[in-house]
Amino acid sequence: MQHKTDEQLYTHLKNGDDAAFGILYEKYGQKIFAYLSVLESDKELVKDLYQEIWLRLIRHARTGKNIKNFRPWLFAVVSNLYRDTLRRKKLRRLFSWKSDESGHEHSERQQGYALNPESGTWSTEGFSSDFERALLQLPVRQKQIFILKHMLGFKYEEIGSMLSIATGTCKATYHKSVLKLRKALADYEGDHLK
Amino acid sequence: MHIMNCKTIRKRLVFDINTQEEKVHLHLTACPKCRAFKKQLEAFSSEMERLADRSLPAELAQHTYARCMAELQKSSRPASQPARRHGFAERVDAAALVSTLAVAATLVLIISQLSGESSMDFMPVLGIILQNTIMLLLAPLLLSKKNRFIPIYPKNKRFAQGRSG
Repeated sequence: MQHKTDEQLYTHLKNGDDAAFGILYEKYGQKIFAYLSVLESDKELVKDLYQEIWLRLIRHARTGKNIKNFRPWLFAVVSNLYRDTLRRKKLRRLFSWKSDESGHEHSERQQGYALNPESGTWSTEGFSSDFERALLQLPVRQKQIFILKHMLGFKYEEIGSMLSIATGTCKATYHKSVLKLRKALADYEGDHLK
Repeated sequence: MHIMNCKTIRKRLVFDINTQEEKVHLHLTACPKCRAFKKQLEAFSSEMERLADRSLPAELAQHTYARCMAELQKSSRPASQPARRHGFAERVDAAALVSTLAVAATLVLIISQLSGESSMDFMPVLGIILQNTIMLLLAPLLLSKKNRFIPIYPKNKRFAQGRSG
């Protein structure tokens, strides 16, 4: 069972073999978590999304539908679910009286980052935390493309089809994300990086 | 002298940091700013590699796995039986049907009362009432998921992908 492809494992899962689920879970659990935890700073939301994704996989398998390329499909589900969740959250915040709790938290974090970027220290740790913060502040689409490319090694064409955007748009968005990160981390430019 | 300008070189580096193009290499040996740019991109990549190793909390892993196993063990619906996905349409059907019947009943009552009192010609009024009743009866049909006239449930590939299951 271990040597089977993801698509074969999915077919086993579809046919009611629970062991196949275990292998897929083992293989992608950490990757999905890493992807989500870099995308989103809210730990509770990350946990919820992580669970929801696996439940969706099971539900999808139950419908008996096939999946051509499992890995891109899985991360497309993660990406779209995250985006939809953010949209819903935004709408809820718009129509809610208690809306400003999380928004306030976010702006505090941004303000803190802007006022105290710890630019005096050039240690890797300072750069790492500032890099994470800069990444979190990117627009969702830019963040997703940057992470899918760098962390998960997807090609532009794959990312484009996963997010239902043209390859050219994907490249342009990626370029923008790099420029924004550079701008946010301007203090670390050049030979100061170890 | 720089063979290619910095903007072109940087664009190439953004899309392929490991490019083996000779022109890029020549430029990099001569341009310290672009070397610094490349170094920054490399730092981004190594940061992403570090983040990719972020470990999954054991508690979350176990809890999710247990929940999924419970879900798997639940008696599953046979594949041939489709899921009830159009609850909204069914509710609209029922509401439209109930309102149609209510309107029809009210009209019948009004007509029976009026026909006893006056001598006016009720044929045109009756025609309009019948027409409205027929339209109301057709409403559930038009709103149902099987209708081919009004696209109430647009099929969007992207959303279908993200909202599967």
